Amino acid sequence: MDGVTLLLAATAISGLYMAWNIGANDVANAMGTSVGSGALTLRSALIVAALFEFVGALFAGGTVTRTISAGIVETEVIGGDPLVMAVGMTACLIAASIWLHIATSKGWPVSTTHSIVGAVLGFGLYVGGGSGVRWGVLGSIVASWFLSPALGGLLGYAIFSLIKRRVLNAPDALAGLHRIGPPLAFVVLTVVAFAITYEGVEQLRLDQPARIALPIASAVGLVGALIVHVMLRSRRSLLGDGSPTDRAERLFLVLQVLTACAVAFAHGSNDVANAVGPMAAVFHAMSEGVAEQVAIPLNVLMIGAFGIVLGLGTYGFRVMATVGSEITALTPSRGFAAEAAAAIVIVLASKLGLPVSTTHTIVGAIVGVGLARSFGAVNLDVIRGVLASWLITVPFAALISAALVALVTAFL
Amino acid sequence: MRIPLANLLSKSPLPRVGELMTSVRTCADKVPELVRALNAGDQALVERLAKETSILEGAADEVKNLARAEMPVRLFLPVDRRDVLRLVSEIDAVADCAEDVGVLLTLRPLIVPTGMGEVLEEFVDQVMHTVGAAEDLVGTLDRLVKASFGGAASDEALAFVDELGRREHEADKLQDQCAKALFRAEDELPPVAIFMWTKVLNKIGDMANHAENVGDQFRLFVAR
Repeated sequence: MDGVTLLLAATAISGLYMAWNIGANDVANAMGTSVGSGALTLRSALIVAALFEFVGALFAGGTVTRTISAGIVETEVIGGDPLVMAVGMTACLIAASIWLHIATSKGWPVSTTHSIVGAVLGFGLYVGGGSGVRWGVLGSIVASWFLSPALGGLLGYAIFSLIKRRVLNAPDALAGLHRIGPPLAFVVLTVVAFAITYEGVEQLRLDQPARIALPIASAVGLVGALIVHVMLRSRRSLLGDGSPTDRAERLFLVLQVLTACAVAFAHGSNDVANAVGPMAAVFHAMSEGVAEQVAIPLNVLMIGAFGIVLGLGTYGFRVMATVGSEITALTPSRGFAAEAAAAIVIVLASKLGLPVSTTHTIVGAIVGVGLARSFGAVNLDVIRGVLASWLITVPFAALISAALVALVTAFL
Repeated sequence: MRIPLANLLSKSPLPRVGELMTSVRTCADKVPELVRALNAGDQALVERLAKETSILEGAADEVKNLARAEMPVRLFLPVDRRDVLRLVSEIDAVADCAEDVGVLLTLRPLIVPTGMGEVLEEFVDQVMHTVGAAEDLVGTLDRLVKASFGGAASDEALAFVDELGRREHEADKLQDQCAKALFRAEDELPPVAIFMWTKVLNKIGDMANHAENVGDQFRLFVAR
């Protein structure tokens, strides 16, 4: 076997491992919220996750993938040497995987996204020093890490406050839900549909400008809202007995299935890139040389999607079950608010090419919902853990990848 | 596993408040028994009941300590943490007063003055209704959290708070009648007995006062 084949095999395996990690932990964290409220059973959560992760990655994952594969490292510094790019990006995948492995075994709430961005940063710094990194891009990525949980929190608070006023505490909870359910579904669906049609996949002619994408997305949202409108009125079997609030909560399950799909889609659009981005950079560099723009080959995307489903199936379901059993306080109305908020923020970040942490955004959204006095107790220690993991992850992942690149180049 | 979400929503310490209320209620329930034993002139029974009250108060204290221990600063509650701690103190004070009543009745064996027996039992019953109203109110806490402190659940809680206030007012009036009956019989009683009776009546009345404070804390929960 020659060196190149060996390198590509190493890339594929580490990319697969990275994708496995994403499926085993991140996806499971994101989908656990739906399992906890009972919107999805464990089995249907697995199916929804596998399906919508793939759809999200395929239709809206390109922009973030491009950021990670060719946006952070200054390609001129590499001087057009495809081997440096290939070795570097493979090292990034391995470094991020090592770091994730350590964090997972310790139970630290670190982010896959932060790990891979940190690793790529380390690679850039090693090969080009201060000028090896596009600091502007990196700055906006880091800013988005603060913004996405904050925005998720704000939106979660706003959506739940609306639900509280118009449904849970309204004189007629069911009538209130019938009124605000379809508009809420419209917003979520329109954002997702816009993400797909606006400057999306060229081959499928989904690369429309805003003036065309927006009406199409609105139309999709409208159709979805109509379906929700009909479903909310026809699911009488879900109502059961109990107070009007309890019955409204059960009816929220219909809406939460929608946001569960949206979260899986959002996650696919943002986090698949963490595994696929570096792989795409390597395969592209080895076949066509180092480039500013990297096309994302379908087979690389397939490896990512396959790895995620594998991670879900072998380990993720356990994480999902744990999350589900721990956050039962997340009733359907609260779960809906948190998921809708997180999905909207993540999908928009994906469209802007910003790799954000899905889990951290969802944590932000749930805390935002909690600010509307909706939970018995929110453990603020988790937020401290999340903040600490931001500070530790980037330097450590950077250090590991730089060390790996140094090690490999010493042998070449 | 790397699961930040699993720890995010903690077990709420608020159900402990309900638990504390139940054990305080059990303790307070000894007070009408004490008064009836006193009325019957059965000092031995008074002594025994006082001891039981003291033990029940100790049990309530344990629940109180648990409740406090489960409320670390890192928990973000739907109500101000300090308000919950104050609520816990007020509920606990009801049991403290009940224990004190038992102690006062054993320090110096008391004889019920003529003409006070009936109104005294009425007074104690009204105090227990007040404590009962506080218990009903604490029972709404679970629903309040579910409804995130609004809507029908908060209306229901406020109705209980009003009921609590009415009960306490009635108890106050009965306490005044007891005092009047006491002073009507002042000539037949040694001054020390009058002094002790005043203390006993105040302690029983304080049970209702602390129960009413529970209502005031709830007003703070629902307001906002």
